[in-house]
Amino acid sequence: MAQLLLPGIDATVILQILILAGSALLLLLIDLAIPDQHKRITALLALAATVAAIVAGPMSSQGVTLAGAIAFGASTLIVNTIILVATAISILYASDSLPKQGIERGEAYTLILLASTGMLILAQGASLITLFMGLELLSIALYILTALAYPRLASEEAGLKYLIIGAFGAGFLVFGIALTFGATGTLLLGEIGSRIPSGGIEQLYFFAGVALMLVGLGYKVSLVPFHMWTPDVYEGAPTAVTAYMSVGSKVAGFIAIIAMTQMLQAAVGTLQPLLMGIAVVTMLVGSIVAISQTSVKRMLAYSSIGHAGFILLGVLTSAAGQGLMAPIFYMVAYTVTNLAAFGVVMAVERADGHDLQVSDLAGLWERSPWLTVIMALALLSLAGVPPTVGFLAKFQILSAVWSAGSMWLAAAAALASAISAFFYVRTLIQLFSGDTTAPIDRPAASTTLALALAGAAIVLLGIMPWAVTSVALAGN
Amino acid sequence: MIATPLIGALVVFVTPKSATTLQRMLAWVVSAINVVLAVIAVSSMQPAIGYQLVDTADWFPAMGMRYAVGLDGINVWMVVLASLLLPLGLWASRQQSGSNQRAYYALMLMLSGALIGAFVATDLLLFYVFFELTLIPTAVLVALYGNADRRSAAIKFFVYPFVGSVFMLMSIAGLVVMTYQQSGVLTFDSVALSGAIRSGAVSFDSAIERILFAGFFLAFAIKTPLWPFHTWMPQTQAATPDHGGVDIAGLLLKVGAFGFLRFAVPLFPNAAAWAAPAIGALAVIGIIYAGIIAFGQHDLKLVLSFATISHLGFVMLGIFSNTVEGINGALVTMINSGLTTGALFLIVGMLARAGGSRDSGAFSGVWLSAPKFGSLALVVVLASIGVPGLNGFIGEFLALQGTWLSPQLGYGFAFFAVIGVILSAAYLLHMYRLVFMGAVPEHGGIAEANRGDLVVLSLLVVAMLVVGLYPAIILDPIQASVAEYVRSVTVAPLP
Repeated sequence: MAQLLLPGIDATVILQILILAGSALLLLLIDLAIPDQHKRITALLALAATVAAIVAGPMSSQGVTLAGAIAFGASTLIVNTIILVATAISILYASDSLPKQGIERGEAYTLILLASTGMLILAQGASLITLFMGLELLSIALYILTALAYPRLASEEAGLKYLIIGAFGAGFLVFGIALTFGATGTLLLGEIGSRIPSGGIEQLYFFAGVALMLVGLGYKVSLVPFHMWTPDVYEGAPTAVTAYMSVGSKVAGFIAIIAMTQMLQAAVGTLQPLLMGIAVVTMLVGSIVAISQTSVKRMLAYSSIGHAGFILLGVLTSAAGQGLMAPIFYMVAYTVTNLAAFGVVMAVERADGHDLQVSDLAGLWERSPWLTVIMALALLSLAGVPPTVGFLAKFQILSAVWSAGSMWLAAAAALASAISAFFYVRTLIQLFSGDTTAPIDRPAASTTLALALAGAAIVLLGIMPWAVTSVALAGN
Repeated sequence: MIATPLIGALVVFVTPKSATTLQRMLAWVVSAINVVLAVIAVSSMQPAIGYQLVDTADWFPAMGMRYAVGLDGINVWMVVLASLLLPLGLWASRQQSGSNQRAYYALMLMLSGALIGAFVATDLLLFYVFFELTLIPTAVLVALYGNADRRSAAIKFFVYPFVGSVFMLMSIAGLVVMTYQQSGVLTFDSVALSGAIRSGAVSFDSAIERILFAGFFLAFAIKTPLWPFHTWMPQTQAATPDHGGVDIAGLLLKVGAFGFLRFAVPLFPNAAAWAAPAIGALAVIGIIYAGIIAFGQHDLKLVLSFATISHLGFVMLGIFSNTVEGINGALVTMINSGLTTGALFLIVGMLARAGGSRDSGAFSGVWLSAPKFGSLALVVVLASIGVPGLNGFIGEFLALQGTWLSPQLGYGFAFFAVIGVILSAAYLLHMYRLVFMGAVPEHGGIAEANRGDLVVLSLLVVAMLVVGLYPAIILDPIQASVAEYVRSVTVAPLP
């Protein structure tokens, strides 16, 4: 009888994943014992687990384990830290806003932890199967989180829409994996590159497989034309979940896309024109459609589509010059900025989950100067105005594009960000003018802390970018 | 010097909302410190080539970004002006009422710090940071304290120049990356970059150079504003508060024209020479167009707004003439525009406060009821027109002389620009006649301005006379730098 050999496991490589997954499962049990009115304890425990995972980051060792299926590479530390910080801030948000809207349930925090585990697996995945597993874990948790406010129709609809579209994307991904496996005979990202078929039907299979995988991931990071779900889901989901989803799943998805482009190595040239076209269209569609939005969350959804185009541009062009610093830095910038923006939306919106309109922000300055400053910083950073982190991020992408010698892409990127400036600034000016409407409750301590963190990060990273780049560069 | 107002702004922001007096005091103290610093800076300037009082520090070495500032003949007066106009703006707005003054003072200080930063930055990216930073406080000032139309004006004010700057950012990225690829030096230092280009260590395809130049051009032309990119300016100025404090601060937005002088032309001399006739034509059209439009305006502030556009037309002509006379003229005109138009905004602010309106039809016979105020205003108006003996004449004359001598422009441009001078005399005197001449209206005229206002105006008038009668005081510190500048950007005529 053949012996089933289990591959050796180096726990230090997957330390962060182990902490997060373990505490998620543990929390599910503990939560049973916590009475409904004390769910805050669950939140605190989840937060503690996340912080523990962040601390474990520098203690992890670089390497590959589980028969090459999972790795801790050069840029893993910084990516994992982004994901975990976003998780921590989202938990802080959720512990304030979910009870306010009367939809707090203990399993919300477990689900957030599980989704983050999925993201980490995605970020560390070195084999196609691991990537798929991470993506599914992440997605399924997010489907449930989106529909968390289920008595509210919008939330339920958003959850269902996300599930159906997400299942589509997963289908593409798994079919692509199958084709790629068929063409190359391996699932390990590191080996596929050297086994790309040079001709015949296998080559066709291979590129069809890669294209299908990119479509699947394109759904996750909402590249045009796979972006249709984004505004509806962002709008319908509870804002704390939107904040989490908008950064977490995008970062994780792009890490997978980066892994794919690295896997393709020189063969990426075949798909380059197509991908660049997608990047440009994504930037322009996101920027142009956002202009006509009246809902803040929908506007931010389209803005996130536009930013996805920028990141893709950075991924495609930065391989030549500065390594992957540009797209990773952009993701850091995007993460802190989006968290701050959604945090303010959450603090301002009404308890019944009524969708916040841009006009509801009028005169926020009179009502809450500090929230206004944070929101203004976030909007400026999204628009790429110095001295915020968004400016440096945008500049690095532009530099990377120029390094790759694509002048027209740089012009297209500049055009897209010029268009997008309009709706960011319109919202910004709205904050400072207009009539005062309903007063705002002082946000809870947890939200204040999270907002202060995100707001400070926007400015500090804009002035001291080396805090991030030295880590990112050290890996290259 | 940059830090003082920025720190001041932060301090003001954290003071309690109700402590208006404290906030005002802080703003005054900060602006006084800055004036002193500026005077020290000017008096320590040596008439030599190159940057002085240089201060540098590595900012982000991995990307070649540095904090680098320095003074030379080209920016020294800009800095003085920036320091002087802050107290002037505070003076104009001292009687502003309203609940939230804290933001006003914080934003004014922030604006002034950002402007000085933009003037002294020698690092391209640092300049860009300050350049953009000037937009935020101004837009928010308009949005918070402006008139009925303030929201759309603020949006326009921000978005329009920002669109230009995004393309400039693209050009900066392109310039730096291509320099890096060709020479292996990753730097944003404007001196190093233009040096590399001049020495031929780095060279661009002329099409690429023109595209890079176009990015800078768009940003600076919108900011200047050069016709036909000027449309944001009258709308913004119509929406700013009546007292004119913000407009005076806004006069400092010479940073656009300054950007041409400091960055766009030295970095891309060939493209600049190539584009000079076209830009000269735009400048001349702007001068005449603004003159004609201003004639039909009733809102006094709009008249001044178009007067500024017309002044900046002369500045642009001077810059692109690429002659020593022209550049000197451009610099002097920039300073004059700050002094003279600043004084005019102050006058309009006083009128608006006393008469409750900015419409030229609402006033009559101010001269009779307020003779001292009227005579000071007349001198300022004459200075703005360019009557010899006052400051306006020197600048416009030099700019025209440079235009005439310029290989790229020539007498045709000068001829049409002179028509603009005539037009500006016409509309400014027309405005003066409507407001100050005629009979005192029946319900009573405007009372004489108070002593403080008169003293401030008199000081400005004295400054105008000094510059007009003895321009060497301005020109001496800048001569060496300008001569060096012209030598560096002069290119062989295109085949």
